[in-house]
Amino acid sequence: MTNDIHQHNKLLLGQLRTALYDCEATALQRQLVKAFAPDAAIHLAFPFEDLEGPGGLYEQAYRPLLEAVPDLERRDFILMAGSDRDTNWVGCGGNYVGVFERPWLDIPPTGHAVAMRYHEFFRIEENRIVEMQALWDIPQVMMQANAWPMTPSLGVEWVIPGPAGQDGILTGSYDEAQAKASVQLVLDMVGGLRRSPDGFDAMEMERYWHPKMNWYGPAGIGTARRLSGFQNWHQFPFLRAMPDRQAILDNGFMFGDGDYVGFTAWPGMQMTLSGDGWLGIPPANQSLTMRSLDFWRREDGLLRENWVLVDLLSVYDQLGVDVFSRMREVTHARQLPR
Amino acid sequence: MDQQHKTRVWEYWQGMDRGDQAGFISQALHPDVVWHGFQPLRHLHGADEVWSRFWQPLLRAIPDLTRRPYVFLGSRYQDGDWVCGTGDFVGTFARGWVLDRVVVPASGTSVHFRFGEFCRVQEGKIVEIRIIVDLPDLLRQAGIELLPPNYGRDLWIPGPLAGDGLLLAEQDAAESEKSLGLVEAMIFGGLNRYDGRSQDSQGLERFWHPHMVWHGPVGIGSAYGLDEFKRNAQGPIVRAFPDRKGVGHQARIAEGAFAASTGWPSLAGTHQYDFMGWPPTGQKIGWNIMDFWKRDGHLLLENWVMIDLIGAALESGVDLFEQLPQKE
Repeated sequence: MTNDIHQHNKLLLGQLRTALYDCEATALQRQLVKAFAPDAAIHLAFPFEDLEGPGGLYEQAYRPLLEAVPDLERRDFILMAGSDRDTNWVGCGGNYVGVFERPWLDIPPTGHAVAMRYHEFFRIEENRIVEMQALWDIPQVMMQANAWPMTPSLGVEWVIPGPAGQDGILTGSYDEAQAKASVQLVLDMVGGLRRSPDGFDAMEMERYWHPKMNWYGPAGIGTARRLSGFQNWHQFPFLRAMPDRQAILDNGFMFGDGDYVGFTAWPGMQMTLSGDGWLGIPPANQSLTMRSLDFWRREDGLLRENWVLVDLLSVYDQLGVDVFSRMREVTHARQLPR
Repeated sequence: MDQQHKTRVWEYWQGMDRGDQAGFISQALHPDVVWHGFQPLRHLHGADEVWSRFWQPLLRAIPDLTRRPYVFLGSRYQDGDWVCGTGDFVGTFARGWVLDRVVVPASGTSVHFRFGEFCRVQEGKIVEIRIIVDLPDLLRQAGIELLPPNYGRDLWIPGPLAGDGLLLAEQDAAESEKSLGLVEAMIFGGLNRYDGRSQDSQGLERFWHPHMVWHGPVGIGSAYGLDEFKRNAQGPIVRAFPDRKGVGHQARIAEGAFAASTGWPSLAGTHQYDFMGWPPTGQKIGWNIMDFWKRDGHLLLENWVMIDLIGAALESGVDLFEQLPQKE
């Protein structure tokens, strides 16, 4: 019976997911109130941060987004569930899609379809969502509006695809053994990451990653293919800049479901920006924390796909850089008169 | 200053497409010439090194390289005779440019990128060179964005409005004096008077024509009019480095309606607020800069500015070349 809780929780979110797919304002508000506990802890990407219950989530986040993208649609490509440390989670990954008609967060509208990836994790207790940890890839929207004011990405920027097998919506009965094997593979890989102080080779990443792996990073870092691409365009610059990065273990929740693994933490890492090379940011020895919400897909005993969102806007905020202010300057001519 | 000095530098600049380039350069440069450049090529010593590490790789990359100066002037500063100018390098970027430890990949197309150069001349030979080129602009033409988007506008920067910037002949000394006086008043009585809060404290309108044009490097961009200048070019710099000051020049000269200065560094301050998306580091910085001005009556009308922004990034701890192919 314990395993069915995950199937149950996924079903429980069915109506909310439908309301988010349709994004009709009234129905959405109703479903939010129904699905969330009134005092649920809601954490959303910078600049939203902590929102007050389902009402705050709608008023602060969804209402302005719906004004900007009136035909908004939320499309999951991953739906998975599981538990860690006696908490039960449902994780969703996908894209918000719609026509970008009016400014959003001062990002100038494009009049075209726009896509924004999300990773949203819901903790469920007694049939209600009691916590949400979610990242929306706001820089991705800035890029589509030609308004990204920061350093160019090393990886490629595109609309991130769902899983290769189109099998990311897991609704079948929960297979404990399979889930455990998936989590173990990620844990082994993370164990490799911890060996980075002994040199990058000591991490032995090739033991864990598929030769044709895809690493889907947040806009601002971009996508990389193959281990060499992942290491060139993301991992090595990241580790060189923040060699002391470590997990905040008490914050993280990792769970498996079939061949998939989800991870959420708010925040999940702490580090010192002490070296050059990451996003062209000067190393001024600032301490910072990072929110990274991730999904992995296992294939033939190796990790073949990894969807990663990092709250880069929060990182810049902690470093003392106002990305939105820069964006308003570089899009000065396209800003509507106030 | 001996006008022959200008002829010497002019010939050095125009000689690139005349065959025996190595011979030509050795004729123009003193064998012990001191060459101060831009990142990653900072200091060279001797005509041989200037040839083998700067000119030869550059001419291999861009075999039909031509210089198109649009400002050219000379005068004495302290005990040195300086000839300087700014304009474009133009040519076909046929092969990668091996520039010290990095390689700028070839675009396979014609390219244009700005240079500013100061030459000190002694007894008919160039004994000291200070040169900055707009490398981020060239890189962009080769498909590599090194810097975040500009606040200012991007354009192929033009020469002076009246097309009168090449001062090959001697100019009226009284006019030259007026130009130098105005520039010095603007720097020491204007730019350096920033109170750390408001750009109005500089009173720049006392020195600048309302239709002034500021021709800046890629990364900052260009501005037309004092408002755009304050908003896009100067504002971000004074906000990020509120204590920044002009800290001296290796040369500051004027001739006719034109004036020029260069300092290594020219500007120093503390990185206290974000600049070009770089977070504040709290570090002291010093930037190598060149300015060329055109005076119109009692106001400054145009300003061509070269900044070694790649060097400036290094001052803040960022090596922008990490994105480039490294030389084997």
